[in-house]
Amino acid sequence: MTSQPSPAYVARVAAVFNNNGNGVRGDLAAVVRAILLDDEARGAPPGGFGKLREPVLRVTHWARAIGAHSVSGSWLLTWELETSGQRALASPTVFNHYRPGYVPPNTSFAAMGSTAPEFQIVNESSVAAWINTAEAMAGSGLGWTGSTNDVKVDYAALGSSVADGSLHRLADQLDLLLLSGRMSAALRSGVLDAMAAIPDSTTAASNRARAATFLVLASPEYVSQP
Amino acid sequence: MTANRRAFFRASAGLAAAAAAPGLRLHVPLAMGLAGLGALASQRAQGAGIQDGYKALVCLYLAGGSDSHNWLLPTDTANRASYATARGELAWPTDRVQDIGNGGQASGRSFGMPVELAPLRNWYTQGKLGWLANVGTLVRPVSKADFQAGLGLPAKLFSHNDQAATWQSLQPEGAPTGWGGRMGDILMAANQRPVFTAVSASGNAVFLSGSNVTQYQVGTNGPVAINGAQDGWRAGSSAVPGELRKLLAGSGANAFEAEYLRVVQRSLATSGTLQAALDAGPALDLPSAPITLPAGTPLALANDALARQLRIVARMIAAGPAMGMKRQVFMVSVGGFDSHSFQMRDQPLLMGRVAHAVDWFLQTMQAQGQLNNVLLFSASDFGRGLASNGDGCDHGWGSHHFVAGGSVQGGHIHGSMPVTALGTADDLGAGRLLPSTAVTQYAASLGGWMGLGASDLAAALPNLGSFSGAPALV
Repeated sequence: MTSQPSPAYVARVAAVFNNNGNGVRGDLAAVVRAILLDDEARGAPPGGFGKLREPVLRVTHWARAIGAHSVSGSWLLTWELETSGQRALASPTVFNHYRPGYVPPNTSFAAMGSTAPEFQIVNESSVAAWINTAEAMAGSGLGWTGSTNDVKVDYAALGSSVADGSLHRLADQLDLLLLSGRMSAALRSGVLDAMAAIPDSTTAASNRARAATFLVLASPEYVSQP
Repeated sequence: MTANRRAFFRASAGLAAAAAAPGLRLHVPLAMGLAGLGALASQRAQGAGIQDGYKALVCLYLAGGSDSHNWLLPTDTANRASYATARGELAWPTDRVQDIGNGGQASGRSFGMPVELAPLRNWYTQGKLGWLANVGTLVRPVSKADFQAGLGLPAKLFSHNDQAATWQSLQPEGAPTGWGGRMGDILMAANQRPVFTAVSASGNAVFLSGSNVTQYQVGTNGPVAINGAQDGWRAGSSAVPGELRKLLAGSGANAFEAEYLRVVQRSLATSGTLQAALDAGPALDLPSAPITLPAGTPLALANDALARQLRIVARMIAAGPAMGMKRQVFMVSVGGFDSHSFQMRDQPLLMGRVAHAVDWFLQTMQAQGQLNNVLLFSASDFGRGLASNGDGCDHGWGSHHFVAGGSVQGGHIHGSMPVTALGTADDLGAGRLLPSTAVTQYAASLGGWMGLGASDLAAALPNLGSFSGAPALV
């Protein structure tokens, strides 16, 4: 089952050997069953529990948590995620954008026979398109009213929390709102370095917020959900 | 998210038990066969004579189960009559059918194609397009009695996603590799840039995935560049590109991040090279002036999704030799073929789109001097039943497909055209026909052209030994 069963797994199996549930000790059939059917043997994909977040969730999370608003009031996002592989409410077939039974080839999931459905829309084009979309989210927004982007965040307001020069506070805020505290050390240092490289000016606060938000949205932490 | 239990038990059960069950349990024997595949790949590439020139295999996938009974239909009196009786309102009107002759089928039979497919018929009469009759997914040859008893059948017949996976990989959904990718595993050693061995213009599909070959996705305008990773002022700071590149260079904190980052890194590593190669090659623009289809519908290829996919494939083929590529497998797809309803309304446009896009592609390859090096073949989830449900027809099995290119044995109908009538020995109900040629055999003919020898083909197509021979498509 595994080269390194956890101590708890071993203990559970040992307990069955000691008592198969009917007061019998040494029931090997029960022991085999316990080994094969333990949650750890059956259910643990490599790296543990979790999933890759689909593009729609990446956008809705940002919009709700950071506080995006729609200029038109109609949230004109129809085509925004087409290139990321998931134009909402417009899946190519009745089988949705990706199948529950999808096993991504040439991955650790395939080696385990595990499904990872969201990977069916992950490819060289869609990952690049997502990061480009993230740049727009961190910039002037998504969608188009005819004269301006529709769904946007007031980064000047977001950045005002670092107007006093405390870059850590913004990093912490993005960690809380967008990453549930999962910001890695590497991401934190990248965010801080990018913000620190922006010289003071009237637009510095807004630009620092944009740079930090873009790096978070484009980070691997943001697209995964453990 | 839980592990696939079936795969778990298959892997943990004795391999001997799985290997003893012919055909159906392809997963484990395939894995066993693949164990040595990578190691032998370079030797096989040499042995298969892949030092010669350049070849590209292009899969045109018609998603949904194309009703090919109306793409290649009988025109001799007796068979036309039984076709018309069987199909009812789905029968293509005789005044919109163009004859193509006997095709090498039984004496007295003649066939035709709808006028909507006239561009393809042109290539047929030039000998550059051939038909393969009544091909379908098969584990081994089966009879109607076998079907009725459920013996030796492909898993999950008539299921879209499983039959699509079976066409592409010889296994139902969840297959880890496709036969295009498995052929790529053997052929990739001949390529200077193996990353571009198996290229999709149409989205993720198992067809192009091998043990070593990974499907490479290209957009219809070429690779998608990550703008924020290009040096300059991005998202508020000129430091952002450098920081982004650092973040994307990692290996992630869990399997999801790790696999996602691998794709990102491949995208970053290749988009510049590929874009430069495409820019150095011909633009191959699609015509924007609309073609008027027989029903009067305008078709502007420049705006057509299938034509745009074939255009990027054509550009990559044009750039292939300069990139040191010798063998490539491509995939393009078009949807809308699941004609349970509105079939007679929708089929003409679908036919027109496919015919004109493929025609443009073949003409372009010819102008580039590459027509002899390109082989385009059609594929679909399944055919459909002859019988009408009142407005369309339902999932079938055997279907007719075409191959096109300079090396094709064209002007010919390969395999055996069934009798287009209900109640025959091939009719499994509602005119769903038992295939007479297997996808495996179809693939073997294509793989042979690409340079795979007998043992290579057996490795890429695990149930090939269940069939005798392959159609001489090239």
